[in-house]
Amino acid sequence: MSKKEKDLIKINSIIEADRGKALDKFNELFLYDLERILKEYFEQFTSPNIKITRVRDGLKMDISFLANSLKTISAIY
Amino acid sequence: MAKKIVITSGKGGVGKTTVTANLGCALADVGQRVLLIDLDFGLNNLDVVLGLENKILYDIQDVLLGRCRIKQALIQDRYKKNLFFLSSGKVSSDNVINGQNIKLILENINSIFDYIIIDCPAGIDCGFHRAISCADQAIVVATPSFSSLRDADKVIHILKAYKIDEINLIVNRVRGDLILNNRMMYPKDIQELLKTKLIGVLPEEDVVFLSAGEILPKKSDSYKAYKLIANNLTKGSDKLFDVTKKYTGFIGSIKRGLKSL
Ligand SMILES: Nc1ncnc2c1ncn2[C@@H]1O[C@H](COP(=O)(O)OP(=O)(O)OP(=O)(O)O)[C@@H](O)[C@H]1O
Ligand SMILES: [Mg+2]
Repeated sequence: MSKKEKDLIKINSIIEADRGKALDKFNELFLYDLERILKEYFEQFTSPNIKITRVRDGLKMDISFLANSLKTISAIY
Repeated sequence: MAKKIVITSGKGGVGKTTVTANLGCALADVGQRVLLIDLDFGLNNLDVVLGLENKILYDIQDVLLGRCRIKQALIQDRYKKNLFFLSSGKVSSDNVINGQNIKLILENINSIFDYIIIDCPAGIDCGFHRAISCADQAIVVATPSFSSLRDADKVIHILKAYKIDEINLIVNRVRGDLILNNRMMYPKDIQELLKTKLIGVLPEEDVVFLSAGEILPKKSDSYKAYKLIANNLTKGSDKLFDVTKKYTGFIGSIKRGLKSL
């Protein structure tokens, strides 16, 4: 393998790792925002219960609230 | 309406100031009205690279503090009548020196220039944010080294967060001999790595260092490379300087052999 090829592989992995970290930061902000927006929205219902968790392939969102009848939504995005 | 382009890199010493000066000259050569602004407060060097350090009477801080009008602070280049320079002056902690106020000043002279090119300080601190907040386009300068490319990638992400609509890449200090020996990354590979459009490839050349304060000799490779970039920007062409050309063929391979000694 030439020096050029080795260099490319190395810089690629450095940059990918940096980008990964940046993405985590973004995810945290995104989760925080989403939770806030949903809470505001579901405030109109009684006792909203919102829980967003990160799962392996995305986000797991558990939302339950008491409206006319009890409904529970659970979805993976 | 002038296009406002910030020249940035993240990493220091990769050639931002040199690119600002020489690209400004190249754009002026193809008939554009160009203003170069030094926003590297305190570590300002663009004046020296342009050879205008003795001509500065007023700087951007004087304009911001109302000590003079913007047009009094513009310095015409010694060789090119359509190239102007605005100095940053000494470092100041005055809070009028912010991106918003500089932007307002630039609005006043928007119509008399085709290009306003901003020399950005190294790093990603407040000086960097001040400089990029004044621009609507960016050119990221990188060299084919790990640290420069890593910093360039971060800077590109920040520029995108600032909603800078056009981000282009210039790879500086490229060695054709090392590329042909597969010992240096190709500018095209770097373009792919950074996912940013490559608009210029600049060779590593002694004349760049030696002619600081003067204009590049017309026969130099760097002069030709800058001319291609100016055309890419103004005419939308897509030509890059071929750094390997002088190292190919019989004579070229001898040159290459001598370089590696
Ligand atoms: N293509 C090149 N070939 C040879 N020397 C170069 C080339 N480009 C830049 N240089 C030299 O590298 C040095 C640093 O360049 P320059 O001051 O433009 O970098 P900079 O990015 O503006 O630095 P700073 O981050 O400190 O502002 C200068 O001495 C310059 O002459
Ligand atoms: Mg500089």
